[in-house]
Amino acid sequence: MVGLAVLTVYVALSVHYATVWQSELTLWTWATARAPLKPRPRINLALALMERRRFQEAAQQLDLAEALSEQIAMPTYDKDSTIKSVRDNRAVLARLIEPPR
Amino acid sequence: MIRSVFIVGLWLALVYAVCQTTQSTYEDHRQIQRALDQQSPNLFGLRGLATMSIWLQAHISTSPAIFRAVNLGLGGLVSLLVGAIAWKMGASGWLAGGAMALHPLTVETMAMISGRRELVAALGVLAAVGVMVWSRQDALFAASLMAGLALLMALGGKESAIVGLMLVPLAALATLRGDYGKQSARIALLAGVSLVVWACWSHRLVGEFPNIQMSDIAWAQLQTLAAARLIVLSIVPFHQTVDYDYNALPQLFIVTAPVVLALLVVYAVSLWREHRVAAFGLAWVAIVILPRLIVHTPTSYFNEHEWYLALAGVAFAVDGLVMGPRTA
Repeated sequence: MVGLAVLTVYVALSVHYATVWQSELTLWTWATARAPLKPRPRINLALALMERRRFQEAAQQLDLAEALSEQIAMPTYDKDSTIKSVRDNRAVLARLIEPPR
Repeated sequence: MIRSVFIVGLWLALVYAVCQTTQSTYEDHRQIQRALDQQSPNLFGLRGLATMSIWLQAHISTSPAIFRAVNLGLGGLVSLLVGAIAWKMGASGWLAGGAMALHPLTVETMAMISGRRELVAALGVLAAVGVMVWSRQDALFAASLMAGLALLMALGGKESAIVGLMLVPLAALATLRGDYGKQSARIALLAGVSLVVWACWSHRLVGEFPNIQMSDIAWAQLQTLAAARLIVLSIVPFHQTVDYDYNALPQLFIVTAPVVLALLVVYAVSLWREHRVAAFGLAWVAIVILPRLIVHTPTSYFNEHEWYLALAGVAFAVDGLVMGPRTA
């Protein structure tokens, strides 16, 4: 019985976590909630929001990602790449909001 | 019989949940596009078998749900192998197989196309271990050859399958009887550990990361922290995430993480005589972690989909500790 109970708990948690993987938006919304101080999930969330044409929220996430990129102290953290990614995506967002004529 | 139907029912619920998507996630669309743009991949190249599998599938259907369904099918095979190995070693088998199929830490592997590499690697390594565990004592040479072929297949999935060189002798040590068999397994295990450590050390700086300067010790510390987190998640699978923030952890965790790994090894050794399957599982986990401490992959710490092969060890340990030795 203990074994079957363990497996039932496993599958309940697995099914719940599987719903997180349904789309980019659900995945990165979940990831930013679990790592609110990390820039990368916010950049990816911004991309998912841009795909859904939620431009204002995407811009907020990019601003947050840039601000957070100053605070990371990990030796493996590549700040220059993060800031470049934020700026590149901001340029894409600007073109989406106002397409060039 | 009822138990088997129940476990298959749980697994089908998981299959349904994981395949409920019409969208690619986590850069999968790039993988699919790359496969569509590519000429026939080299089956015998690095990760050739997994790349070929993704390439073939992309040319048949680009549906993310079908990619996930195939991953789940491979995961089902892996789980059957884990169950069969555990059963042969004297455990219940069904709990190990069920844990391998249903544990929440498998979700990331099943949901990502990149998970195919982990699955092919795990399938090959477990086939190699299975051959060794199920072989007759008087057919060890033939079994070793077959295990070698299975390990080559595993390396076609991902280079991390090199740990099979340690896991196969570990399985032999756990199951072989007689002084000659045990002594041979000990020598093979020592040789396997030496070879893997040497190979990993020689290739520890893979890729180029010009903006990242890091010593071997600092890298090992960070990976120890990541491995400790995955060990904790294996026991208490809450707060999973695709991108964990290690920067937010207090310094204390970096100091205590090596203690968690040391305890794992000490616990495995202490269980070896009385609870062989559980000890085998814990030693399995420690072995899978070892190369990750050596090889630098600065843009990606040890993460949940890379933990898939280690999870087989967790499944053996859960079966051994919860159910104990099989009585009938």
